[in-house]
Amino acid sequence: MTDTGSGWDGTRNASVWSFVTDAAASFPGSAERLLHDAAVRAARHPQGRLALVLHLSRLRPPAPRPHHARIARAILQEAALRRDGHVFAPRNGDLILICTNGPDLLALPEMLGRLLRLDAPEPAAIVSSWRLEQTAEPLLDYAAGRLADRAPTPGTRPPAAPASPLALDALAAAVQRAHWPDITRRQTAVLLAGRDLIGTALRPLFREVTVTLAAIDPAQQDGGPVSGDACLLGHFAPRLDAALLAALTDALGNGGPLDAADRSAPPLHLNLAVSTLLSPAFGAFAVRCRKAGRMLGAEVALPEAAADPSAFARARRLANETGWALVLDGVTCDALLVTRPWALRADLVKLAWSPLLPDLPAAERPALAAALAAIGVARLVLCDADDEAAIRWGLAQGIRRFQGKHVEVMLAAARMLSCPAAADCTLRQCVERAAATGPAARRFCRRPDLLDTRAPASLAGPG
Amino acid sequence: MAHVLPAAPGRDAATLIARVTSSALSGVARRALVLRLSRLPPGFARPHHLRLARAALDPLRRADRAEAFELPNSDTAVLWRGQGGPALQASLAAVAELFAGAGDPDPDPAALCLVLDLPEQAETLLRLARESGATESTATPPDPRPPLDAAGLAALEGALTRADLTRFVRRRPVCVPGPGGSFHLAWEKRALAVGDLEAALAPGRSCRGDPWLFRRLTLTLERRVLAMVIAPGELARAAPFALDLTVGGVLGPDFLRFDAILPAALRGRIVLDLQAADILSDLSTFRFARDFAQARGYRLLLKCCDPDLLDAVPPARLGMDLLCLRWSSALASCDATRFGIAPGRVVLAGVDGPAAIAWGRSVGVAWFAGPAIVPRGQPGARTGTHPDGNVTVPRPSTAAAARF
Repeated sequence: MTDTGSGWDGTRNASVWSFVTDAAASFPGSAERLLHDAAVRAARHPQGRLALVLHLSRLRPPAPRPHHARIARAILQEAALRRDGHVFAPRNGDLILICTNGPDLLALPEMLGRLLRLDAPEPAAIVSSWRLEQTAEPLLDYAAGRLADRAPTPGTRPPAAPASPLALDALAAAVQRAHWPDITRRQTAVLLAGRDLIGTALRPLFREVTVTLAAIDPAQQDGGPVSGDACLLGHFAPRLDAALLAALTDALGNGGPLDAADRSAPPLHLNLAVSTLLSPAFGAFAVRCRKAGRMLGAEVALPEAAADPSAFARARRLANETGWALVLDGVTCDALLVTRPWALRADLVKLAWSPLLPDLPAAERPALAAALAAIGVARLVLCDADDEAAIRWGLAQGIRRFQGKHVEVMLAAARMLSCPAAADCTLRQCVERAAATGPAARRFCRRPDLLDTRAPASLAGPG
Repeated sequence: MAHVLPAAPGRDAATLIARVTSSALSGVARRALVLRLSRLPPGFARPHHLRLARAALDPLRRADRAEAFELPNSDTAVLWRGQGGPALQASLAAVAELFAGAGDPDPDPAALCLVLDLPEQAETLLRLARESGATESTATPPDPRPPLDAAGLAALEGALTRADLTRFVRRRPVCVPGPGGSFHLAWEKRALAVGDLEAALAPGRSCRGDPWLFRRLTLTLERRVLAMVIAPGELARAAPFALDLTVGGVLGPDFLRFDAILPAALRGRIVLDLQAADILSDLSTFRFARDFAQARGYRLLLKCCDPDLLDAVPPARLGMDLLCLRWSSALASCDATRFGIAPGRVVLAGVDGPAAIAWGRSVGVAWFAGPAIVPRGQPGARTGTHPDGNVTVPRPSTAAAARF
């Protein structure tokens, strides 16, 4: 039996540790071996014994996250303390409690299932419990399965050290040195004219420019990267915005993102902080864009917009006066169920695709439908649509606006169908060139106007 | 440190209100002198009279951490730490000398100079500030101090690892109204006095000036508060209380230690105060933390400073148990239909006078907190008993909630 190194009550009562056997803190296979031995012993003396398996390994990725395991373990440890039991934590991430049974444990499986229902594709299958005097076979089979499991331990990277605030200066310097096309991408959102994927016209609506700091934000000696700390990143956002606006302004006329080959190219959307939208720098940038004949849009994340709705309302008025669309980004399935994003009255609302959306429990589906209706499908963009399932679910809801990797591939395929020089390129190259924000990455494209066009494309081909 | 502000009476009044409110909330003692120049007879209220009268307060401006405020009605207030001693006496003598033999009758120096002890007489000073023509709004005035920057935060985080924070812990009562205008303690809000903490560890800087860096700072502060709360003996005879926490903090090992040693008598009587910005940053994790905390018998409170927030983030839809609204002039135009939760689950904070209390009662707010709210009786912790049953935090509906 080994110390887990973290848990329910570590500082107060060291004896708690003797109730947990943890694969992560043991030599390989020891937790599985101890679980198997304990299962065999319990099967020999099953009277009044209970076994409970919490199948954390069945949660939908990215779960189980550390807090899932920490809380679940704490709950089981408490039961083990009360009921002369033991908690096992094999390599697959599951947690197993073997203890004496009692009426206080009756509610335990239901409680765990309810707690983890949001991340469980099948909440009913997340907990197994057996009264061993009735049947010990399932526990023995499970323990044998764990013992025989030779799959490598899932990656359990230690949590990154928090970034030091002092790392912000280094990041700011790196942003100043960065070659912007290397750290920015653009992704096109489209309007699907028809209800079927094949043959429908894809009309580009806007192109979102995103900045990726990972490449220039290495972990510092005294902590993790800034991009791993939401607070420091939020503090840094206005500086990053200012640098982005300056870079876009400098690139005007030099084949930058604002210099589309097609003058009727759809608007460029930028992710900006509300404080940036309310700053004089934004006003000056908007004037430059208007003079250059380019219309733009701004995207603000829901957490920032909803946390200060008054500021967001001011930004919305200002953006609209400037001729920019204001998009509410980062609206998740959870957000539709527990907030009212439509109250912020953004021009467009970007709903992030999640496999949870079609799999919601029956009790939550009416709330989802009501939220979609309150926003209105004409204002909804289903983003993160990285596979066909996302598009099909969106179309079934009446959504016609999409953005994501699958949309990029569809657009590239449609471009290649109509491009006279398509034989010289691959689909992947066409996707990458459309995502590029600088001329260098497009230099081998013989029809760059097609990368920027606002004209509808169709997977049915030009004919 | 003498601090002479340029003439901006409206801003001064708002700042004075904020300072007095802060003193009342934190319990930190200050003294105040109000020079009531608005009471001078017209013949003595010419500009040079006012200038000379204000100059008479110069000795007091050099008292420990003195701040001077010019109010819209020409009154001047000076706040300082400590008794004031010779500086106070010198200023009072200078005022008396200034108007001695100047008229018939002379202006009464005793009526001109009002000396107040805070926080006991905070209500009087707040009333004078409002009567001076300052707006009723208690919205935070612009902070003249620069916000804490990244380097300052790094230094402060380092200092916090070594500092003894017990002297910064404040217990602020949250009360239910009783008969005859009385208030009874429902629970205590336990929190660190950020204003005093920054004055001691980051002088001249505003920790709240940058919301993102302040959020980062709260992560450190919540760990320290939890460590203090679970110190031996701290919970044994404690009254119901509330803590400021982040969603990550509710799911962290420190909170699990707190939960493991929470006495049964307190189970179901602890309130966890969460910020909307923190909740919204990861709603999936929030929903997990909410379900966990409520299953363990905690009540979750949404802190709200802007009534407009409630349209997009209705507390009941979010699954919160309680809502805390901060009193402001903007709130005064709100009615209960905008709360997004039953008024009987609402706390009105920042209550600084009769207007706030009247509004709260009119909309059916259940709990009140702020400098104008003084509970009758003592917290249960001092007597070893809990407050009256009708004023405690509602218990969870099922006994099973306390135990999985």
